[in-house]
Parts: sequence; structure tokens; C-alpha cells
Amino acid sequence: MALRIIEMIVGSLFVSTAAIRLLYALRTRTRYLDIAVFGFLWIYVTTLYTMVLGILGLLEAHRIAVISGIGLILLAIPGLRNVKQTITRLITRFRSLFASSDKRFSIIAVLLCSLAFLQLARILFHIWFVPPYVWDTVVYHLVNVAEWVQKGKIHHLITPVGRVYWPANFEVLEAWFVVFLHNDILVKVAPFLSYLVAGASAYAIARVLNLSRILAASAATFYLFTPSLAIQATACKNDVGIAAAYLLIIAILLDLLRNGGYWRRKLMIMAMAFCLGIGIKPYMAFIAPAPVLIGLAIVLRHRLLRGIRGIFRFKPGLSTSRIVLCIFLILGSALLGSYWYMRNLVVFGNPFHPTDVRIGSHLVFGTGNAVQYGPGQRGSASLRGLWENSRSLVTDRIFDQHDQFNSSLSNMTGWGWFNFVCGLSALAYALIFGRQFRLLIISFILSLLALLTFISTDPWYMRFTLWFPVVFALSFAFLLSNLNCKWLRAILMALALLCTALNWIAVLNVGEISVDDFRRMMQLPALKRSTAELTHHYEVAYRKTLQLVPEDEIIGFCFPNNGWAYPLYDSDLSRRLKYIPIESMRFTHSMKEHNVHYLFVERITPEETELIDRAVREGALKKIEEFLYALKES
Amino acid sequence: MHSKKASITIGLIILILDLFLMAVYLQKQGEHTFGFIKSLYEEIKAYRKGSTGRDARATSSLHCGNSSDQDARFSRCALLFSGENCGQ
Repeated sequence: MALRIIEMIVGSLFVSTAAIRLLYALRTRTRYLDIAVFGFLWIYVTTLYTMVLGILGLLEAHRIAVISGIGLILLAIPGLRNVKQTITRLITRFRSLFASSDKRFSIIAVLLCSLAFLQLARILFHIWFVPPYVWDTVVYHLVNVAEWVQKGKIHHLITPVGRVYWPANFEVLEAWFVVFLHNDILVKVAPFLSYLVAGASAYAIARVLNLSRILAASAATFYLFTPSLAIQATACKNDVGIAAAYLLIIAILLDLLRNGGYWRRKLMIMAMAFCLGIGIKPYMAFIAPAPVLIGLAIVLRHRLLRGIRGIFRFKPGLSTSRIVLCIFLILGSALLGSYWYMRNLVVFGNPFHPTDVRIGSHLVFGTGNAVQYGPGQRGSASLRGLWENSRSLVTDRIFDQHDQFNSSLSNMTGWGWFNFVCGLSALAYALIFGRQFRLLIISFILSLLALLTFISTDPWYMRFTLWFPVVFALSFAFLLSNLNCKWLRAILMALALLCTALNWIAVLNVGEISVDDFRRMMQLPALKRSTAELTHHYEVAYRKTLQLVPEDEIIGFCFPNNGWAYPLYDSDLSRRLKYIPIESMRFTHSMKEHNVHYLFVERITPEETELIDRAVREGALKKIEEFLYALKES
Repeated sequence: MHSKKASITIGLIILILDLFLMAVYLQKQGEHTFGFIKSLYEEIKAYRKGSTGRDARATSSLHCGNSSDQDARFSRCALLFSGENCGQ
């Protein structure tokens, strides 16, 4: 284990150094923006590096450590001065975030820091003690991660769960936190980093919009406590990755609108963020209206139409290293943005597999018969869908009335106490009084409407809107900045802090984990905290299977396209799995062919049950449990 | 920044609106948030009180679960997940 930790440190040092070098080349020289940019670059470099290693079949701790060690020497020695300079600069900037010059809000600063500490403590506790538990992550997100880390390469899986083929940049980032320890204990660091970048971007947007440091920090804190976002900080779902990339793009665009400068660098960062985002989830394209609208405002304001040619014109004085870096980033971003779609196009003939894509009634990609659990994704725009989604949002979901906040956000927004109580009225205020805010709010609403036009009306669609609540927090901070009445400002701030505290309490168990589970997980050794040990879904079946099947045996499995495979890998991803379709009595032969002696079943159809029962009657299979069968040796 | 008078007028309107919205939200989501706080408090209190029963339960969960309560929970889960609305 000590060697693995050293390898992880070497790998982390390499990607951190690469990110710092990249920051040195791409920094915007705007203090508040560079913090968010650095966080994003770290994620970008790590994802790209892991993806390249995975595609080349080098996704294995020892190999990564050797490659990273060589890379570290090549990067660090010539650029040691730059690295030191950049680290010093980053530390200074980070410190400046907390160096409040606004004495009036010093008590607020203490309260905000206390809240931030509480949130950090909750998140670290969840990362360390709670294994992955969210439905989608154990059905497909982390199944990808487990398979890649086990096989040492990125490859496409054979599984009945079609969603496993959706774009997976975020899973690539998660694989980085699993590959070194060969254990999923740190996997939740990936969403947490994205969560931090989303917060840093919210802070940057607030600063660009001329809010003071303390009000910008307040806005970022209020936003980060939004239950839907706070839960995703440790959920291993990928929407938080989209929120981070999207808000960074918005922050840079607003900075360009107000301040201009460093056009090429900022355009490059935005392109990188967009490519990373589109490789996480395609809905990054659906929420494009806000960036496009702000982009148009930039063009109008800076009369860029003539200047655009200048931005892209090759400068004779540009150094070779800059040109090489530029080409490298373009190629890297193209890979991140297109890899999954190209793979699906080659393997399935549909870049958006398993979703059908239509324009009107014309089928562009897919079979026209996409099978998905539940309604699935529509893959086309629909005004009826927009109407139904909007109505459901305004009349029902916004009240969060059906359940406690949870990662699935079933029939709720998950926007929580602050956004409903303080954010809605502040949004109306900012729309009326905030000239700078008007563009942001209107463009965000347009993005939301565009999103609602494309996504299906299912109980869980609000998970796509993690980026939206930032406008509530910004509007509230703007309201406070405009009130020239100390006691009224204090009352409103107290109300906001109360709501934020309620948001924190409401997500303590993320809506799913019982006190008994917390306690049991804390009693287990850190590396043994497996999803199979959690009791909120099927705990007996998974734990028993792991106990009954010998460790060196392959576990055959059969379940519908919403089955949980991930717990069967165990926390150290040591168990090998093989999908055994049960379509005829040949399935026992298939088991023998693949050297599979055990079969795990979950929610199988009556036809599949009948075939299994027949195999048991004929003596080919032996029933061990309701969910576990063993092949009889002939 | 608004004038003092405008600030008080706007601030009070916003405050009243916020309090109204809080009352609405309290009715809708309140029962879940406060219900959770209450149940959390009760669960923690129960754990702190009864250590013997707790240890027995923890042991049965940690080792191969043959206990009838776990089997019952499994059946409940199977019923629950055979339904439509169980994740996406």
C-alpha cells in the first residue's frame, strides 16, 4: 500500500505541475478568475492524461507512476522558476480572497467561514466513510471505472445497461482517483473538485459583476449550499462536472464583456471547457444559449467584428513553444470532446447510442427503437416537452415537496431553502434594477428553457440544472450591495444564513444513508467500505454473493438495463464480472465457455426465471440463494 | 446603491415577500427537513441509550446476514424495485 500511495503522489505531482505550467501559459491575470481557471486546468489535465493512458492500455498504477515520474522531471526542471512563481502567485491570490477590506461584513465573514468549514467537514466525512451509493453511479458510471481500472485500459463493456455507453469524461476523472489504490475510497474526490471549481467560478462571476469580495464569497457560499449541488459533491454523478465547466465559461465571458483583454487565452480556456463538458454529457450543447447571448453582447460592445480577424491572425512573433502548446490543446480538447461519440459511431453506428436522435420526425441516428429504463432521453426538441417540463417545474418541483433532498431529485428541483426563500424575490429585484444582471439572468432563463425543450419529462430531469441556482445567489448578493440600510441588510443576511444552515442540515445523510449505515461504515476498515455493505438497496444479495463466491471466481450476472453491477466488484475492484444473457437453455454452455461458475440474478423476467428453473431441474445449475446459482460440475 | 428611503421600502417589500415564501416552503419541504432533523436526533439518542441491542444488530449486519429482519428487508427492496419509480 505504501508503494501505491507513493505512486499516487508522483502521479498527482505530475498532473499538478502540468496544470501549473498550463496556467502560466493561459492565465488571465485577473485574480479571481485564475483560481477557477487553475482548478479547471487541473481537472482538464488529469482527465486528458487518464484518457490517453486508458486508450493506450497503460491505465495501471506502476506504469502511470513511471510515466508521471519521467514527465515530472521533463516538466519541473526547466520550468522550476515558473512553477515556484505560479505557486507563490496562486497562494497570494488565494489569501487575497479572504483578506476582507470590507470591515462592515467582518461578522458575516466569520459566519461564512464557519458554514464553509461545516460543509467541508460533511463532504470529507462522506468521501472517507460512505462508499458510492447513488443509483446511476452503481448502475453505469462506476461500472465503467471498475472495468477500466481492472483491465488497465478504456474499452467498451458488454452489459445490458445501455447507458454505460454515454459520454464518460467524468468517469475518466474518477478513474484517476481509483487507479492508484485500486480501491474506490477516494473516488468521490472527483466530484468534490468539480464542486470547488463551480464555487470558484460563482465567486469569479460575482466579482466580475462588481460585487465586493465578501458579497462575492457570500454568493458562492449560498450557491454551494444548494442541496442538489451539495449532494452531488459526493455523489459521483457527472452533472457537477457540467456545472463547473459551464460556470467557468460564463465567468470568462462576463470578464470579456466587462474588461476584455487576453482574448486568445480566454477563448482557448472556454473551448477547452466546452470540449470537456460535451464529453461529460451532451446537454452542455442544450444550455448554450447563455454563452451565445453573452458572446453576442461582447461582439456588440467591443465592436469585435473587425477585430475577430485580428484575434485569429497568426502573429510572426509567436514563439514555437506557444504554437506547439496551442496545437496540443486543440488536439487534446478535440479528443476529450469527440472520443465517446466517435467510439459509439464506430461501434454502434450512432454517436449518441443508446439515444435516438431526431430532427422533427426524421430519425437521424439510432434504431428508432431505443430501449431505456423508463422514458429515456428524447434526443430531439419538443415544444410539448418544453411546456410539460416548465409547468412541472413551476407548479410542483420548485416546492421540493415530495421527499427529502436526494441525488436523484425525484420530482423536485433540489434548489432548497435559500433559493426559494431569498433567491426568487432577489432574482425579480435584480431583473428590474440590475442592468448588468439582466443579461445574465435572461440568458440563464433562455438556457433553462432550451434545456427543458430537449430533455424528457421524467421525475429526475432537474439534475441537469445544477448551474442555474447561481443566479439566485448572485441576485441576492446584488440586492444586499444596493441596500443603504444596515439593519435591513442584517436581517436579510440572517435569513439567508438561516436558510443556508437548513440546506446544510437537510443533506447530512444525502437523503439515503441511515445512521445505522454511517455507524457500520465507520466501524469497517477504510479499504473495506464497499457499496455491497450499504443497506439501502439489496444489501443482503450483494454482500452474500461476495461472501459465497470464492475471490478468484468470475461472477456471471444477468439483470435488466437498470441493474446494479458495481457492488459486485467490491471496494478493491478485485471481483471479475461477466454478463451472461439468458435467452435460451444455451446460457449454461455460455457460462462454461467463459469459465463462469456462479450466476447472480436480479429483477430478471419471468421467461429468464423459467429458463433458470429449468436448468436447475435438469441438474445444470444449483440454487444457492434466490439470487445466486452455481454451475454443477459435470 | 439606493437612497435610504428607497432601501427601506425595497428591503421591507423583499423581506415580507421572503417571509411569505418561507411560510410556503415550510409547508411544502419543511416536513421533510424538520422530520429528518427530528428522526436524526431520535436515532442518535436511541443509539446513545441502548448499546446492547445496537451491538447485536451491528454484528448481524456486519457478518453474513441470515437474520430474518434482513431477509424481510430484502423482500421489501425487491418489491420496491419491481415498481416503476425507482431511479433513472
